[in-house]
Amino acid sequence: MNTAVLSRHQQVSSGSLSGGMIASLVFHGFVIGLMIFGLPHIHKPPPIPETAISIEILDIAEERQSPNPPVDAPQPKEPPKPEELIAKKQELPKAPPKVEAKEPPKAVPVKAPEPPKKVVKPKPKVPPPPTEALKEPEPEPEPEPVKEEESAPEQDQFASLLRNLQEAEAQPDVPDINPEAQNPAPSPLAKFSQQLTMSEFDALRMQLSRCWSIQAGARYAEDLVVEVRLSVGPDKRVIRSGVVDQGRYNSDSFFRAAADSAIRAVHSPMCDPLILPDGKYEVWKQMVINFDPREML
Amino acid sequence: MRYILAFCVLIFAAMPARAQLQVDVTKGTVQALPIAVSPFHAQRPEFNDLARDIPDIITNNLRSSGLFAPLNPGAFIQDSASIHADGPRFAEWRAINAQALVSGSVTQAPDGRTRVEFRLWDVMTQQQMSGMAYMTTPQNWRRIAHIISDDVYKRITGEDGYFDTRIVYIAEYGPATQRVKRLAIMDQDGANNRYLTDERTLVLTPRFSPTAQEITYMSYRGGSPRVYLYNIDTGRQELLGNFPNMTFAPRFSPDGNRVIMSMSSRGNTDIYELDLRTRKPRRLTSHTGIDTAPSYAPDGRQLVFESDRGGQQQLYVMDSNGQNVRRISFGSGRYANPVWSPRGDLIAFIKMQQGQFFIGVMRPDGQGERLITGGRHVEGPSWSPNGRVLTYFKEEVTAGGTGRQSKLYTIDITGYNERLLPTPRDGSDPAWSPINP
Repeated sequence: MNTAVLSRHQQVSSGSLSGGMIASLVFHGFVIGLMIFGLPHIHKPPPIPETAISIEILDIAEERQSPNPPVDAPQPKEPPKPEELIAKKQELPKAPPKVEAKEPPKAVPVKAPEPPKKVVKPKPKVPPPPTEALKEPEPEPEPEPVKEEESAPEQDQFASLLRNLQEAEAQPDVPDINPEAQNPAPSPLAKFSQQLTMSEFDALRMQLSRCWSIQAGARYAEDLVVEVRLSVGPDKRVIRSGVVDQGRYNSDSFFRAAADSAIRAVHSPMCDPLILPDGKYEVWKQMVINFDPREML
Repeated sequence: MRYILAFCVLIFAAMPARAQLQVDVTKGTVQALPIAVSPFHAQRPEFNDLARDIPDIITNNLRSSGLFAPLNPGAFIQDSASIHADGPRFAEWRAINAQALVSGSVTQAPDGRTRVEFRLWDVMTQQQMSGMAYMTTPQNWRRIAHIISDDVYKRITGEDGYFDTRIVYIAEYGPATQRVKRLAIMDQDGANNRYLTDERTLVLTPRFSPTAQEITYMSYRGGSPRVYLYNIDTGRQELLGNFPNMTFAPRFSPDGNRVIMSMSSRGNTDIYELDLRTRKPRRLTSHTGIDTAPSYAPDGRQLVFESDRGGQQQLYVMDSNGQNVRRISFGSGRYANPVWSPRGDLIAFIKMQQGQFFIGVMRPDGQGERLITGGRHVEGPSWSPNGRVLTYFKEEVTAGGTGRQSKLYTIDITGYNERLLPTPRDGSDPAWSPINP
């Protein structure tokens, strides 16, 4: 009897001991894991840009030594041919748009047109990917941008968004240049992965800048900062794009217009394909582009 | 135990294996959006004119805004019938550098009316952005075109359009000594011009009601300048208020229930407000200086006016009860004729400096002053209902150098895209209407 009780007691004790052991192991494992993965300052170098700057300087130097255009620069293509356009036309699916009812946008005056009775929505259409022949000729391949050479034309391109005759009179030689627009952009190092060099980063930024049209004069335009998430294929073409802040996109018409402009930029022919480095697909296959107009306004 | 394990799994799963690449684009271009406005598809031959003219008006409206660059229809690859039957072939629109496409059709509705349908497509993402259909009589085709233009403008820019609006102005003609000045009204693109008053009475400074088809203006009817109210629908004119002295510079409140104006008495001018329902006046300023040209903020809580109480014409803002007056203009030169933007973010004004006139804008706190256009004599700024465009008039010496002409212009608040508004005769004192009801 006593033996049986003791045996049961030992079984219970050993059972609770093993449970406690496991719990202790898991807890210690969690603490160790937290120290390794959860505290970035232990296993990651601090985000001080010195390391990145050294890499970038090396890379720029390398580019200066190489007069050849980058391998991934867009290649010139043949202009479209009429026969191929006709062939292309035949490939397109025929999907008549869907029609659905919608309320009128405004009150109907005596002489005003009747309110809209129908709103037309197309069925989702998946056209075939554009063929080479339908594309506009791609721009000439250009060498990797060198900062000093790019600065002058950039000033011309990004002329003042808001005209001011007073400033123009004071500085007649540069009437349309906004001094703020000439300031170089802040260093992106704080947000930028160290796996791309500054040159590669600048090339991408410059390309996107040329594709992005800012809505100057829009109300509260400085608040219309749009984040666009991109999925990019190995051919450096945008596979998928989406606005990060969908809630604001669906509720704020100004933000939606700015977001649409950003989406158009990443799908623009001038940004197709994107200027991205070879051999780093894992780095840029997913990215977030932050279109921020505040410096331009 | 299970909870601890699940907690640990969640914690580790939530940790990103690698930070996602982020790129800040802080510069862009300022380019008009390349847009293709396709001819509309006509269901019947009798709709051919509408199917051609409506897209023409839309094209003209969008181009005049300066924010769009309509493409030459001669470059279009796909025709309207094909778009109507199969939808847009986006690759072909992309090939001609169109970023947006407007297509449409004109058909006959079952009840016999004309049905005008349009769709706005994003060529890059190959998505429909907007689509509406309007039923009307063919006589309203211009208005339909303006409404469609507003829809396209709003969807692309996020702001309300201003194409389905009118502009009232002073039509001028005759020699300088016997100048005729009549009240006239036209569509914002200059079409459908007509006169509201006859040649016998000199009229000045018309202002549209923001809520009704009414205009307030100053008239020398009866010999003395007084503020009147004109109903566009009925043509009825009435004297506004029973003021003992000259009244001028009227302007409606944002709710349309009050008119604010100046009254001059014994060499002094102050600002008064008149309630249109009770017809009771209320004095808002009481200063020995000349206070005039008042304009309400869109919320009606404040107003801006010009005053020489500091020794020189400057701009002041005060609460709508006349309290808390503070000066907002501090630049060199004289400031006059302030007008608060309907969207509230800017005040337009006239600046006189070194013998030149300028039209400028500043924020309501007086910061961010910009002069956007100028000349020998520019005056009378008036905002479009969306606060994006200003109309004004400019007096210039005629080509022969012997006379003067006065023409109406519009300009974007960025200071670009200055355009001449076509009028049959000379024009001055333009005032933009709200969106047509």
